[in-house]
Amino acid sequence: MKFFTTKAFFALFFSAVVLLSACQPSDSEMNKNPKMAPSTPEVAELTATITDDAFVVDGAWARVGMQGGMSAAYFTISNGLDQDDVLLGATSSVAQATEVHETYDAGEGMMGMRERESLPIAANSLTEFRQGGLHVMFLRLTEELSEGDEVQFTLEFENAGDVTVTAPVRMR
Amino acid sequence: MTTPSTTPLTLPRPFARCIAILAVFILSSCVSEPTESFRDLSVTLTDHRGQTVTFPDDYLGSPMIIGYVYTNCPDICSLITANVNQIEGLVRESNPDLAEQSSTDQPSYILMTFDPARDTPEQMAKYAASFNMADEPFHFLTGDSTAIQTVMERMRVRTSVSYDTVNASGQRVYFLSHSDKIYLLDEDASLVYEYGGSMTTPTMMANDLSNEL
Ligand SMILES: [Cu+2]
Repeated sequence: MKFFTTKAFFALFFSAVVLLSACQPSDSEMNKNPKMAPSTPEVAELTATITDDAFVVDGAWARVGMQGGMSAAYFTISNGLDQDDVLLGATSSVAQATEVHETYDAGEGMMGMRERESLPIAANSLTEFRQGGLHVMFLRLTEELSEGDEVQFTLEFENAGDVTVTAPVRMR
Repeated sequence: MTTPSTTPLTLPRPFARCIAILAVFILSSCVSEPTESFRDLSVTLTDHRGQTVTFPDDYLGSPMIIGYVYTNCPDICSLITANVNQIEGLVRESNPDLAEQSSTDQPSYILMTFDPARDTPEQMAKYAASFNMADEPFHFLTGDSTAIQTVMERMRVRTSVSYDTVNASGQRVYFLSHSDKIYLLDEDASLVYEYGGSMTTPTMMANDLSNEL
């Protein structure tokens, strides 16, 4: 009886191996498990640090865009002051309208974009404007923005006042 | 019937049943769904060069990367477009022999709009040019709204209008919430992978595409 049980066990085992080897991972299985990312976009590591007693906008760049089209600018706001601030808005001469926006998860796998009026900037904080998140949005560009160009825009803060930023234009 | 104890090669009932159940279970888990194919779509679209094309027919024979975008979206869609651009560069670098093959053997890198009302072929051409992607192997596709709707439904790309306003000069400005996707299709237009379009590293997608070559 012992012999028999061992034999049956091996029969079972080899059957399973044969059946499993016939079952190559199929594309349809892969479709159900789409390769999803690490949850954040591939962006440069955050190198900015908070400078004590200083209010700095750093690391700015803007996206290429066609005339009449859209573009966006990204940067880091470093508030090393002990006072909270508020980003009230943005202006520029490169577009018919310049707004503070954020991209957000609109649910059901969709991404949306909305305006952020009055964005709080806490004391002693870093606020990152990055791809897939906060951005200064240029609506209806008055000129084409190509790699190598520069754009200027002004951020209006409640306490820090107007901060003018120069951003090189890049594809990514 | 023989008794199990005298014929070692015959399995006792419980084991036989066990194997049968196991077989059904294992097999059913691997033949559950056929590969999702878009080959039969055969939809007429227009590329950014103004050429009438049939999708996917005109691109069959080599793998395709497809990003879904609209050109009035500077953040997520630009990121998707830039990712597709980068995938192309990475695949070209890691497959130097591709350069010697004919253009029909090259992978196609497609950006397809889900906002055909605004994204005319001319608009797509300007958009492509601003990303330095106006030339082969890039294809920016648009079409009439019915054709685009057909494609997007089949490819499970969803959109809904958000942020709909009229600006100071009386022009309607609207944005779309939309799926954030890049697909890798094989040379027969069957889905290989579905990626989060803006969030997935181009390196990973380029490796997957290289594996299809
Ligand atoms: Cu925006």
